[in-house]
Amino acid sequence: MIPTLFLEVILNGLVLGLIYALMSIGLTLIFSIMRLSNFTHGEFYMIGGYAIYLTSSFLGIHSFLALPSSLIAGFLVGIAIEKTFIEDAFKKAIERPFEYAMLATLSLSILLQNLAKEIVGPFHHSAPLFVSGSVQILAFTLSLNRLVILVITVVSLAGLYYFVASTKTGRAWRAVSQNIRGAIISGIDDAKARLLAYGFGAALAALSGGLLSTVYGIWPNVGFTPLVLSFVIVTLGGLGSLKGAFIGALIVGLAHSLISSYFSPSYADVAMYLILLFVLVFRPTGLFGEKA
Amino acid sequence: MVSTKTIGVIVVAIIVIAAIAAVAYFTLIPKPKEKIKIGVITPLSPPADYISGKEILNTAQLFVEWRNKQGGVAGRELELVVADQTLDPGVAISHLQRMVTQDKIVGLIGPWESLVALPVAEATEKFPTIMFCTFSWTDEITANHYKYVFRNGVFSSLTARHALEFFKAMGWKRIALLIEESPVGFNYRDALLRWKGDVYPDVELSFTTCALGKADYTPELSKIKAMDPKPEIFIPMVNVPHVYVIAKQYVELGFPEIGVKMFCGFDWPTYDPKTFWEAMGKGGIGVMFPSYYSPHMKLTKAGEEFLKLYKEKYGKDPFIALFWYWDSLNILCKAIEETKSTNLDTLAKYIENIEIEGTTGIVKFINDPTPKQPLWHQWIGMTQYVFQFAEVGQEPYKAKQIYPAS
Repeated sequence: MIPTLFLEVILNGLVLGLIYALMSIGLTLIFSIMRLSNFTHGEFYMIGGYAIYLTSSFLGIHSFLALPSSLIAGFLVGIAIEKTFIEDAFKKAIERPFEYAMLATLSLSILLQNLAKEIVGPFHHSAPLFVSGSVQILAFTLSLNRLVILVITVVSLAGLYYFVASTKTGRAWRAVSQNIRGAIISGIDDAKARLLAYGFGAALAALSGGLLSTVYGIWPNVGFTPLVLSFVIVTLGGLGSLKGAFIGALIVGLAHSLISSYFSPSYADVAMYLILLFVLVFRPTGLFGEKA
Repeated sequence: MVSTKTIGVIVVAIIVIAAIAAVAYFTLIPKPKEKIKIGVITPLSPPADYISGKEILNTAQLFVEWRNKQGGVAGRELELVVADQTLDPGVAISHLQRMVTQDKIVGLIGPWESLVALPVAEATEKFPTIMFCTFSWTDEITANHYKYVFRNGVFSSLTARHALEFFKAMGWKRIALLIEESPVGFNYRDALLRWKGDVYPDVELSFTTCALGKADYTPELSKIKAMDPKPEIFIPMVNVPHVYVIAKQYVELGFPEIGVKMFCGFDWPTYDPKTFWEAMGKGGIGVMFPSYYSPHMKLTKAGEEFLKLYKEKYGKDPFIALFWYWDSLNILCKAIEETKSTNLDTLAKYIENIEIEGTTGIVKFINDPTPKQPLWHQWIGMTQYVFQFAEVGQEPYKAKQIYPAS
């Protein structure tokens, strides 16, 4: 008989992996279309967390109804940042546009953390659970809140898959990520594709922040760990690969959960980076990355 | 025409008059006495705990104001020299160096967080001054037996001993702890193990460690939840803000429903009750926290006076460490008055043997010279109280005091 703890650990690992996937796919989307390592990604996570918390507490509404505010806030802030600080790097003849944009996102990351400290204070806040209580599945119990998060995440990922595969914007993204010159010649507005990709990437990070703020809470530099994890995941899965980010996130979520529970939480982070190094040594492009 | 000789006489006369005036100025005209300077190195900006730091500074300023109105100390006025400790020990030590070498401070209200307080205590060996700590918990601050450092407050080992005494009184035997990989967690674990034999040999303690600054404690909590037999009490010994994350996940994973009660290793629910209730909701009912302050505690005359002054000036109650800082400043002033000296060795010797009415009781220091044990320049006269929440949103000190019975 499979021990209860093992099943709980696997299920928690899957939930964690799927939420990491939301965050990492957002990062991958931005990287694949803009070739940009977005250091502001952790702050989009933070913004999503504060959005659901502030909306639910000020309007006195249920967390579930406040969740769209995370998506909207992430998308709008993402669009504003892209238009104000990043667009010029690609439009104007800047010698090193990617480095410029990367440094801009790094500076913005620090600025946003400090702004959050000033505006909402340095303290920990929590959005209320979507639903309290737990449910008995076979021999183990699962928090109902995590089950809700699992369902929202799966629906969001399926929606994103449909969007990328079937809509005009999704096709434009794929074209720009594969061959930007070809895409421009075909009449695709590359600036608009970049703008929307950045906005959607930010919205996905904010959505994961909104979802997880009901479990982990929120504070000004909460985005740091998810940012580092996302970089590990996208590198593991292969830079620019949406499928890689998804699989990578599941591997990291499961590995983290299993090692923390059966060995020591201290080993979990070490093991994660060891897995990453192992993959990079034997497959430098990551699991699903393509060679140049 | 004025002769050269006359000019010479006039010049000499001017020089003589100026010299006489100078001598008279420096010898005959009374000058104000030099002020006694006291340093305050405390957190005044994030990420250090600047909220507590501001209140520590408020207390020191209130003390100086109050004391100067009474004529100062030994006829001399007090003056504060203030610096932001930050979380960088190097910065705090450079402030200490400046205060000792340039400002010539006589005593110091030392840093707040142990991370900074311990290196600064060490630095008083090189830049000597009388330093007081209250809520800097690491044992080493007194266990290292620094010549001029006194702790007028609690330390990790002592809080662990008090917790064991509480568990024994309640008859709880199975205690599960989640400890962070930092001095906060490890000191508490080591102290529990050290005192267990003396205080409560029957208790079963199980420790699960977690990395610093995590967001997801599900694996660790799942492990504790799966223990067979189940623990009666769960203690998260993790610093703020992450202890709130654990509290939230404790509720989310259903610990209250399976009857595992939470005992907060320290008084973090009092830091920001709104955050506590946001994190815990209904799961916070039944949670217990220790504190060295109780609304039922009896203050001395000095304590009542400080409470009145503080409330008048700042419109709120001081937290317990502020009472102890007030005592520290009183101790320093009494030492200067009684010894009529600002010599550090004289003052340290006097303070070692002082017995003074503090705000919460008699303050006297234990000076056990056994190497590496923390009862050196250490006061242990405080009482640990335990409170238990009974309703959502309850103010911490309106919760029921369950130990000692009020």
